[in-house]
Amino acid sequence: MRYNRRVPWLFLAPHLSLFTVFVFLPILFIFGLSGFDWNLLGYHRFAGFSNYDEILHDKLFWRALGNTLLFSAVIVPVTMAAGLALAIALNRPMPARNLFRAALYLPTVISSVASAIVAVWIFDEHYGVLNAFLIQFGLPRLPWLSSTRLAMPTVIATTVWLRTGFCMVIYLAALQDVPKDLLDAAALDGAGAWSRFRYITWPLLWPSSIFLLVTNLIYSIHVFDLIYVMTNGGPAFSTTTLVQYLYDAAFEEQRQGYASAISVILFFVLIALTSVLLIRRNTAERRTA
Amino acid sequence: MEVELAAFRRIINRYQAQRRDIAIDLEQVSYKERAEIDTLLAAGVGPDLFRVQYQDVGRYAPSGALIDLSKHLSKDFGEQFTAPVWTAVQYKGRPYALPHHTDTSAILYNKALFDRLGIRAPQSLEESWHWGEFTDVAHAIKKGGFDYGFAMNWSFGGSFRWLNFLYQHGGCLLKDNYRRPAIPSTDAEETLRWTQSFFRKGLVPASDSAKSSEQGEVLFAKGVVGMYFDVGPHSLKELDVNFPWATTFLPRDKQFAAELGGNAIGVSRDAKDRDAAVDFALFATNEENMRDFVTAGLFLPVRRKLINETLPYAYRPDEMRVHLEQSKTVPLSLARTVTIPEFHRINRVLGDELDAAFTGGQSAEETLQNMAREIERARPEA
Repeated sequence: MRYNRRVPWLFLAPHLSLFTVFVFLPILFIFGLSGFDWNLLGYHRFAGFSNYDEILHDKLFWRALGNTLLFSAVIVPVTMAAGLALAIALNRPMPARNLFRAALYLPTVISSVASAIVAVWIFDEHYGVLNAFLIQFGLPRLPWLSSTRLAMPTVIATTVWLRTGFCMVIYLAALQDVPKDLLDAAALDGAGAWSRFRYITWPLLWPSSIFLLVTNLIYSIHVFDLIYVMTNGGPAFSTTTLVQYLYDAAFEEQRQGYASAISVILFFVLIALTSVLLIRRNTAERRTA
Repeated sequence: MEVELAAFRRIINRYQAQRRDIAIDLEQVSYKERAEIDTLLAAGVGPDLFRVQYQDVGRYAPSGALIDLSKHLSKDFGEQFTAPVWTAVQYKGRPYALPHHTDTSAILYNKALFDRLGIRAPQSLEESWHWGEFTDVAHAIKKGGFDYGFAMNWSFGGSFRWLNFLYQHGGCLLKDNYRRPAIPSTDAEETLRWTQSFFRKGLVPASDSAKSSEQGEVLFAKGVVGMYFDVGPHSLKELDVNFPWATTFLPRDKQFAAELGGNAIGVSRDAKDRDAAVDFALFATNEENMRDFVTAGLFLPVRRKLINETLPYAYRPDEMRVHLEQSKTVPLSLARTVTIPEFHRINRVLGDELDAAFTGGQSAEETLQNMAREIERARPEA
């Protein structure tokens, strides 16, 4: 059969054209805009690299970057580990297995804003469910959202609740692809449960783990709506992340050029981190091939 | 709010009964989604008219997003309105929007608690508590078994309400014809230390800072605080409050001061028929429609004639009269300050820095220096 080189492009064309108009061109536009001072409604002045220069000296930017990296450094491994543990637990026969799977996945499909409002009602210091529960046991009320020490852990705990179900579903699908005869053969050869997981299951889950690493990293670096509703970046900037800071610059301060420069930096941070992950995956795959 | 939408629909119906040739579509955009209006205006497809906060007129006017209404109005047109709102809708001496209504904070208090503690709330502006008396009442509420004395309304973009205290103490935010920061100053430092003491002494919850998600009305309804600051009784209407409550005046110090809240109606540069758009804005802000809107939506009128009328408010008219009296204490200089074109940037700085001062342990000196530096940056060409 003759291979027509144009056919794949024809199939790709609808998606590529939408991607170009709604993603690629806006990204290029943002790069250009980062060299301007623009308030969206009126004036538009060339600013060269002054936005980037200002960012380098902006203490709040560095604070927001630090918070974002801390948030990601906890969210990515914790949600993956919890997702894997739940997937393993729910991959074996047990009563009401589907009910547990659905309950754990449910937060993933609820809008982040709705989830955040629920979280506020759980964690509010004065009328929240959690403190009411603590008081029942004679424990003190804790300022979950209003203490600079507790606000970030509270936001992280909420995100883990929202994100773990997604990791669990990906791992569940991957676990069902692990050949049972391979595990049975290993068991016959005397391999224990840990050895079977370590040397058979875990390597076969590796592509899913890389997928989750990349998507969770992008998700955690882009976190915004949850924090916007729960803490609005406070108290005292303890939960201000880069996207929250970018949003404030763009829509509260009307500094589109400055916000664009932040998003360009965010773009390169994400490119650098995902490239490292993908290079490591390719190296590992070459080694096993 | 549904009652506001219904009031707008009534205005539109009345207008269309006179002008059958004009069709009007009403679209609701919440305060948090107001960036949508900016995006539409930037794309050249903005609405013909839009409701604009007084603090935002200065942002839309210089860019031409709102049109200059001078040629549509008589020279003495502004005399029908109160001075703060007419000042607020002007940019370089020209009107860019028509004042529609206003709102101003007052203190809502737990009447049952006050009766039990023998506290008499001020019944007139002249009886307003001085700062010391106000904090004494807050301490008494705590001693009376409540967790905290009161809750503020300076989160959700309301950080400019801290300026009420600054102006009450005789201070101001800007000087040199509103071009440069007037802080740090002794008045500002004393005001900031006083407001920081609310948190240090546990008079307000730590969750009630300038950038929190806490809702003062819920704390009040649940009996966590004995007083809370709000611009009207609407929030309590929706809540199940099982004790009697009433409204009293803001505290004062060297002088009275309250904030300018509320909205005007502006005509956008994208309006296809500007004359028709201006005609509707004039209709919507006329005496009859303003009376209907403010009494249904629980707002305050901005026409001089209406502020002296006994308005038939749909809910808690006695409380609304307190807010109305308080609105007469908005200093003109405060109205000018919050309506400069860069105020949206300054309001954000106020929120960030007050939050750091209230919950992050940032000193009053550093907070005021940070505010001053950011104000200088926000007004580079002023």
